Amino acid sequence: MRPSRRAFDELRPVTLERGVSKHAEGSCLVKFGDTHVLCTASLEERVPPWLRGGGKGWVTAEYGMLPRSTGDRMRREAAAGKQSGRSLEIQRLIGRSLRAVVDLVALGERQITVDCDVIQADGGTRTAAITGGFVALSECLAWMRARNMIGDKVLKDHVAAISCGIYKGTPVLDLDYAEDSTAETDANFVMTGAGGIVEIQGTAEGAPFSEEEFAALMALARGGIAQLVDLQKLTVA
Amino acid sequence: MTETNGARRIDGRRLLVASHNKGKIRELEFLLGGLKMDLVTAGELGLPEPPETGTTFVENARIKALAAATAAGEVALSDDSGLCVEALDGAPGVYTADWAGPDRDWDRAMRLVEEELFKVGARAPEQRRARFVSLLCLAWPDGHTQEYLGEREGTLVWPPRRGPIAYGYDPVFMPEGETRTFGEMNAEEKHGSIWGAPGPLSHRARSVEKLVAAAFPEGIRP
Repeated sequence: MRPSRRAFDELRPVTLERGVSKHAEGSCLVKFGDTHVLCTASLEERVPPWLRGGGKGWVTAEYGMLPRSTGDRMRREAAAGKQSGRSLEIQRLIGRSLRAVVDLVALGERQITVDCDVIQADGGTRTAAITGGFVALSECLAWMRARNMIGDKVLKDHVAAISCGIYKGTPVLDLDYAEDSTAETDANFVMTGAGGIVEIQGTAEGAPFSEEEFAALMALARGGIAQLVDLQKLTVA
Repeated sequence: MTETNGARRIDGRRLLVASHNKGKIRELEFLLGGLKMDLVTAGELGLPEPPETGTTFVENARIKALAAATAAGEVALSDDSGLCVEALDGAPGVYTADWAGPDRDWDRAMRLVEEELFKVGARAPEQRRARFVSLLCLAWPDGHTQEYLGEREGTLVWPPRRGPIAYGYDPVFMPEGETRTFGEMNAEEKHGSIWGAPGPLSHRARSVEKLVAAAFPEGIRP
């Protein structure tokens, strides 16, 4: 039995709410159960120096957790003067995942920054950030398109992410914190709407996992991501 | 727009189909026929047809399902579907039936799409990509809704190629990986074998498969 009483292949209640920011060109408040992440997409009419004059745009991401998104207050990274290694790794993953479905040439020489701020953390913040970040990004692109800044072929596909793990010997979908903290194996999957794999991060804690177990996690992830992509389509459409 | 994945299941053995469209009802009866679920239609209960004032498949599907569920006091299923042509920015989309005019003249509708494609110079098959969408909405009398999306990619062919049953834009839609249009297929060929076996499924077979897996009582599948 899972702590949340969910079936092994059941997602937490997932909510995608777009248009939640007055100022940002695109935004989405994403909830995977008690994990809540605010994603905003901001457009800038310039690209990083190393891309200038190349006729290509850029999509990047930043990730952070609010001090009381966790059980005990976390010190702001700003107070420490630099981001943690974990934050850097996660924001690079979010950026790579979103770029996987964007035609950077069709975007033109401009940059979209997707900011993902964790309001409340209960496991799976990076997968929620990728899934909601996509909605914010696509809302930003729709904003640009309505102003004839871009054509309709900038987004090549959808992209979403989910975690899976082996909890008490059973492969399960969408780990919450109670499961994540005690799972023997946990893995994050990022996939496109067409089912293409963008990134897989998998780790065993203690005993290693087998290829068969990995295949089981992969199948769960595929099913979960298909549901998330459907929800994205309903939200954006 | 806020979307949430719902987790409610139907607990009865009867389902109200919120549609007055004979072609749609026939397809839903075919797809749900093997299950132990009695279908009753909005027409049989004498329910009115609400105006579809939404601008998305989701909005229109919700309007229809909620109208039937609240009027009849039981769970209702609606389907909003359409053809989205890539080169036409997704048109006719939610206005798919409107392009057929008030007398539902599908020859006219198909000709209109062809004329629009001609205007934008879309002649090669890769410029004539389209997808059929079926958005199912399950609504409860208390206002709760759950949605299921099914899509089928393909290309548009001209002239129309009809078959045993010509329904909507079927005669001009050739699904990916096939050499025949939906119009030239019988129901089994168009919808495939939906319970587990891989097959060339229609958009509606795909949305129905998700609906049954997620919201029908456990153990109802054959």
